Amino acid sequence: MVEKILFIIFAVMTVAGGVGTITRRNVIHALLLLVFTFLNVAAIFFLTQAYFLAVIQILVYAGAILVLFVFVIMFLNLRTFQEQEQTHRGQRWVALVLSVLVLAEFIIVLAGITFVSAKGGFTPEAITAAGGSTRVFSNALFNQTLLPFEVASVILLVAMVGAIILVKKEKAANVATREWEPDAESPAEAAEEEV
Amino acid sequence: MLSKEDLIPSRADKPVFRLAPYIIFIPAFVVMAVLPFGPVGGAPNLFGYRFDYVIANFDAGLVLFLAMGAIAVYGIVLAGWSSNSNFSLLGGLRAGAQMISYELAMGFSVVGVMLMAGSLSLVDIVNGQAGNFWNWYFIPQVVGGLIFFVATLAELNRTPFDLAEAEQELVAGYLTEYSGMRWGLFMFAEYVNMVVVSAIVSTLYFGGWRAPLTVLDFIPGPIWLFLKICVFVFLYMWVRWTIFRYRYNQLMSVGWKILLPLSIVNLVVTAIIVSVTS
Repeated sequence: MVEKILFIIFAVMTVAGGVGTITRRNVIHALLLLVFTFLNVAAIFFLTQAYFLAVIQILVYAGAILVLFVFVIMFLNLRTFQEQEQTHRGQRWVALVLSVLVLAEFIIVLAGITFVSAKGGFTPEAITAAGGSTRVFSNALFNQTLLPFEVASVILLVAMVGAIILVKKEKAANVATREWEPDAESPAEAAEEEV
Repeated sequence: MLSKEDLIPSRADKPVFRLAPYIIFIPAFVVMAVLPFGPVGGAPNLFGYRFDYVIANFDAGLVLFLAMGAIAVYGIVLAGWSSNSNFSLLGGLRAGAQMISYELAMGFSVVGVMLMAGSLSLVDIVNGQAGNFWNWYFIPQVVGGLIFFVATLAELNRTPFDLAEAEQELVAGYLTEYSGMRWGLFMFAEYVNMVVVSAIVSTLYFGGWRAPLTVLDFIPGPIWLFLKICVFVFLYMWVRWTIFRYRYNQLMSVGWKILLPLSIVNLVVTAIIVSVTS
């Protein structure tokens, strides 16, 4: 009963955070609400006793990925963005239709799944008996789904290499066209390069 | 400090400005929940009930510590951004970049301990160091331990890594616009973090609540942990008053070119040794 009440609280806050994320005009506020959403999702994972998953959710999504978002936004200083007029009025209706379509798709797909297979033998008691959620999780990840895991990591590696190459090309072009000014670089830019 | 005037700059982003002290303050205390300060499990020890010397004993405690470190970055970065001042913004950016860089080395150096203990739970890690002090992990993990200690210095924004505040160049960095108790919360969080990180260092590498010699087991665990925390807090202060502040590019090259490769080597060596001996 307590768990159900807590779940409802966290679920409502998750949805509220998500709605807030897409309605804020201020980018940093939107990002903070997204962090809030992720933390609430982590809380729901905690409620289902998937501790490892919950902590990883905080570490990876709320921590690592969104900090980079905040960084980029701060470097570009998008503070003035909120004062701009919205130009594409028609975009709103297209977005509405598309999101309704995607939502319908989700509902159809999810309704077709019977969640028995997903849950399987992973009751809290069985997980404790098998040595905790971290052990069970890593066994499932590295035994049953090793190939998809490796494929995903190779894709990420490719993306990372691609990003580095893009940055390098940009720099080479800049050096070729711009005269070298020793004092033109502000500390913030220097910090960005170091990152 | 509570009675001092609390100023908010007029062009500041007020909600974020108000929120930032809490974001840095709360994670410091959350980590304490997974910290064992005495024996866990076993026979009833308090009026017929079993009293565990840990608040939340779950099997990803160490990752929670890293996750809370990642959340604390927001506090500083947002404090710097929301103040709408160049000093603050630069301080916040420096702190953010620094903490993200050193988090990697910290994460990698901790994996050595995880491998040796075979667990992510701080309770199990302390249990893995049972016995006299030569069973503690600081002997096999001396490289990892040193990397971890240096990385925590950077995470805590202590000298020689306190570029976020660097008073000679940035006034007070991300704290410039803060006053009154909001400023107090930042300071409070910094020192609480120092105690928590000292506790984590002693738990990971120096046996946690365990006595250095099993003969001394009659002294309860919390006292030992407290003594170890005091030693490390002293060490942090000692470093602070002894070593000069790094320049920013030196800081980054220490993090990326020395600590990170070294921690990966430490991880690989540990993994080989653990897999051969087990």
